[in-house]
Amino acid sequence: MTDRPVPKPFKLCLYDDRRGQVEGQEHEKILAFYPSTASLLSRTSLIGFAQAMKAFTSVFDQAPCESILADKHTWALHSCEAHITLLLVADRGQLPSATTQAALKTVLQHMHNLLYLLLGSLSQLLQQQEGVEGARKLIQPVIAEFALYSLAALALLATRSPSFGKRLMSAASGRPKPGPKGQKSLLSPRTWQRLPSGFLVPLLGDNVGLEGSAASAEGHGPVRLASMWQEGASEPAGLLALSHGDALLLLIVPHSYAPDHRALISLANAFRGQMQELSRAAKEHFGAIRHGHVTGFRYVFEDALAHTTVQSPASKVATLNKDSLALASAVRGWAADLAQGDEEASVEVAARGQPHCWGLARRQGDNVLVLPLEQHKGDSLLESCAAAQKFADERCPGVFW
Amino acid sequence: MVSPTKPGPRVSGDFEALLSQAHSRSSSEVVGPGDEQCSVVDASELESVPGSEGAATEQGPGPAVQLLEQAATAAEEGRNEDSEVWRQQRKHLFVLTHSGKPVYSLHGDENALAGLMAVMDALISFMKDQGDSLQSVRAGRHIIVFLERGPLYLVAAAATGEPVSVLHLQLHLLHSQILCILTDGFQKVLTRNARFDTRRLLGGVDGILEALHTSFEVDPSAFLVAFAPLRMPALLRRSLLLALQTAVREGGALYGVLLAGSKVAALSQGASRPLHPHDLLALGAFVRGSPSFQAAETFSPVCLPHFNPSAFLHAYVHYAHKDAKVCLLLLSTQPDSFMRLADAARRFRAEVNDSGALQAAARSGLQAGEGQVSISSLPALAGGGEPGMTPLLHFLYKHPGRSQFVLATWDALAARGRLPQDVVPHYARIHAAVFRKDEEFREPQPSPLRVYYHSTDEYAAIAYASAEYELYALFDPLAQKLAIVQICQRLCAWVKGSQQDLFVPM
Repeated sequence: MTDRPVPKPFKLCLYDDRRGQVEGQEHEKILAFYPSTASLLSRTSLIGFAQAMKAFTSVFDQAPCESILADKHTWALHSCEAHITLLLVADRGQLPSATTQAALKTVLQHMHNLLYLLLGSLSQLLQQQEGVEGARKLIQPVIAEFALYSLAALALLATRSPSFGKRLMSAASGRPKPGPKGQKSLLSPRTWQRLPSGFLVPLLGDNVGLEGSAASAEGHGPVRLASMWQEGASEPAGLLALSHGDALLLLIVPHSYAPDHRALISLANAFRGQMQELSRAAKEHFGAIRHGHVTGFRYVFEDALAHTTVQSPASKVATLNKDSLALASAVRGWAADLAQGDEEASVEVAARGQPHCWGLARRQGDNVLVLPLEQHKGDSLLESCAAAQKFADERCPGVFW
Repeated sequence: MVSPTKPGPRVSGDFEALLSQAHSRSSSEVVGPGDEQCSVVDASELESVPGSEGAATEQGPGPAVQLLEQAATAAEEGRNEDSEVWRQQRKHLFVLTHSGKPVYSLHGDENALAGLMAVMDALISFMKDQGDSLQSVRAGRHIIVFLERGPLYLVAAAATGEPVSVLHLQLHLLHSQILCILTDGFQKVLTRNARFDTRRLLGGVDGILEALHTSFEVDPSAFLVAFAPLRMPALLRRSLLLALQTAVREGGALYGVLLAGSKVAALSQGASRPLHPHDLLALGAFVRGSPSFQAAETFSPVCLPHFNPSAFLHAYVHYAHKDAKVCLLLLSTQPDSFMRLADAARRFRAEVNDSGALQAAARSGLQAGEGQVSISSLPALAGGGEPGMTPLLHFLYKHPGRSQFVLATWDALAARGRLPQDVVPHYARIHAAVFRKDEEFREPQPSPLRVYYHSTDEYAAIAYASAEYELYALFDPLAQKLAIVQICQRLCAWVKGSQQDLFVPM
C-alpha cells in the first residue's frame, strides 16, 4: 500500500464500539487502522483491551479512560464523538524522552479536528447512504496520511501536529513533500494543483470527497472546490486557497459557489496587491533567522488571545543543555497540572535544578510563558522570578501580573 | 521486568469475551470447595444462564437467582462496586493473586468484589501476554496503579491527587505490611498452589491494614522515608533513651522502640542494622491496628521486610501508658525470650517512671497534635502567629541524616476548611516534583531540585532540598516572595536550634 517502510512503533486506530457486537465480527468496529499491514487479530486485540479498560475505569470515574502506561508502550485514547474513539499505541523506546501522555492526547485531538475539517461529523458520515464501508474508504486515507507525515516524524509527536496550511504551502511551492503514491487524502500536497490564476484546487480523480470533470481541468466550466466542514455546520463549505510568495489566503465560501476560471482570475487580481504586501511583510518579519530571539533569554509564549506561539529560534534553543530543557518541560507540565483546566487560573512555578538553571513558568488562563534561565544574573528565587516578570512585562505586557 | 507466570488467558479481541473469561475463572476459583459465598458482578452474564429469568422453582430459587440476589444485597450494603457509597470512596486498594483470587480490598467485601478483581487479573494478564507490564491508567480525576509482587497483584485506584509514584509506593508498603504479618513464605506456597487461599491467613488483620492506610492519608512518612519523632524536652528524652538501650541490652533484643501514638519517643538500634523507616511504619501499623495489644503484655511474631522478609522476629509489646498510647516494643530473634524481655521491660518502666520521662512522653503524646510544632508557638520572624496573623499556614521539615521529620499542627489550615487528607497529597506532589519522580520519562531522572516554588489561588508553596535538610511550607496565596523566603530561612534556623527537643538521637 505504501512505498516507504512502515514505522512499527505506532499503531493508530479509529473505532466505533456500537458495531461488531457479534462474536467473530469484532473487526466490524474498526473504521480505520494504521498500519494497514497489521493482522486482524492484533487489531481486534488492541480494541478489545481498550474497551475492557474503559469499562474497568468506568467503575471508578465517569470520565473515559484517556491514557494507559505500560513498561514498553504508552496508549492514548480520545473519545472524539459518541461511541467513536481514536486510539494510539506507541513504543516508548522510540518516542522522544520528553513526550508526555498529554502530548499524545493532543495529537489525537488534532487528528480528529482534521478528520472533522475534511469529512465533517463522523457519526453523520456513518449514517449516510454509503454506510460504514463508504465511511471507511474516506477515513482510512486521512488516518494513513496523518500517521505517515506526523507519527513517522518522531520529533513532531510531542510538539506539533500536521498543519493543513503547511501542506497547502508545500503544494503551492511546487515542491510537495514526497508521499506515498496513490494517496487519496487532502492532507497530501500531491492531491492539489495550482491553477493559472494562482488558486490551489484539488486534483481531479478519485480523491476524498471530490468529483471532477475533464472540462474544468482544461479551463472550461466551473471549477470544483475542496469541501471542508466547520464545527457545528450542517453542511460543508467550499475552500479556496490562494498563495503568493510566503502568504496563503484561505477563503471559506458557500458550497454552492462554483466559479469558472475567469472568475478565479478576477478574484486573484483583486487580492494580488494585498497578497504581495502581505508576502513581503511576512518574509521580512518571520523570515529572519533570529526571528523571536530576545538577547539573554530562551522562552516560549503561548498567546491565547492571538492564538499564536512566539518562541526563541531553534538555533538558540539548541544552546540550552539537556537538563535545562528537561526542567523547562517539567515546570510547564507542573503549571498545567496546577491550573487543573481552570480557564481563570493564575499559576506561577519556579524551580532550580542542577547545576545552575532555573525553570520558570507562568499561566494566566490559557496564556503560557516558559523561561529556562541558565547562568543568569543572580541565582536566587527572588532574582530569577524578578527577571521573568520583567521579561513578561516587556514581551507580553498586561498578560501576566 | 515481567516475571514468568502461568500461561495467561487466551487473548480475545472482544471485551465481552475478555470479561466472560475473567468471570468464568473467578467463578471456578471463588465458588470452590470450602467457599460458601460468591458473587457475580455483571448481571447481564446471568441472562444467558438457563433458569436465571423467571420466578423461583418448586425447589426454591435457582443458583443464578441466588447469585443475583446476593449481588444486589452486597450493593445495598456497600460491599461491592455496584454501591454508590463504595464508588465514592477517594481511594481503593486491592490485593489479588495471579489467578485472580481476591486477597484484600480496603473498602467492601473481597468476596463481593471477586468479579471486579477477576477483571483486573484479566487486564494485567493481557498485557503480560503482549510482553509488556501494566503500570498506570488515567481516567478523569482517577489514577489507577498496578504493581506485581511475587504471585500477588496490587492495585490502587485513587482520586486523591497523589502522583503515580506515591500510589506505587503505597502499594509497595501494603505488600510489605502483608509480609510483616506472614513473611514471604506464603508467596512460595501460593506460587506452587494457585488455589491457596491467602485470605484465610489474613483473617483479623483488617485493623492493621486500615491503620496503614490511615497513615498514608495524614502522614508523609511513606513518601519521605522517615518517621515522626515525639517532641519532648531533650533531658527527659535522653533518660528515656538510656533506659531503652539498657532494656535492649539486658533483654538480648535487636531493637527497642517507644511509641507514643504514631510518634517515636525513643529508638534503640544497632549501628550496623538501623531500623528502616518503612519497617518502622509497618511496625507502627501492626501495633496500632491490633487493639488486643492494649489488654496485656504480648509476645507476637512480626516480620520486618527490610531486615529479613523471610523470617519472623519476636516482638514484646506492652502499653506503658494506655491513655497516651505509649507503647514499648522490644524485638528479638529468639522465640523463647519472652521472660527475659518482660523482665527488662519491667526494669525499664520502673526507671522511666522514677525519672518522670514516661509521664513527659505521655503528656506530649496527649497534647493536641501529639507534640507537633504549633505555628503559634514559633518566633514571629519564623512565621509564628495565630491563624490569620501570619502568612505561614503549615510546614514539614525533614532531617535526612536521621530519617526523621517534623510536622506543624493543622490549626491554620483547619481554619480554612482544609483537612490533613487534603494537604498531605499536596506535599506528596511537591516532593515528587523536587525529586523528579515522573513515571513517563524513561531516561535516568535528573538530580533533585534545590528550590521549588509555586503559587496558585489556593496556596503559595515552597520547598528547599539539600543533603542537610528538606523544608516544605505552605503560605497564604497573597504572601510576598520576599517574606516567604525570609520566614523559611528563620524557620530552618529555629528548627536547627531546637533539634534536641524535636528529633530522636540516633
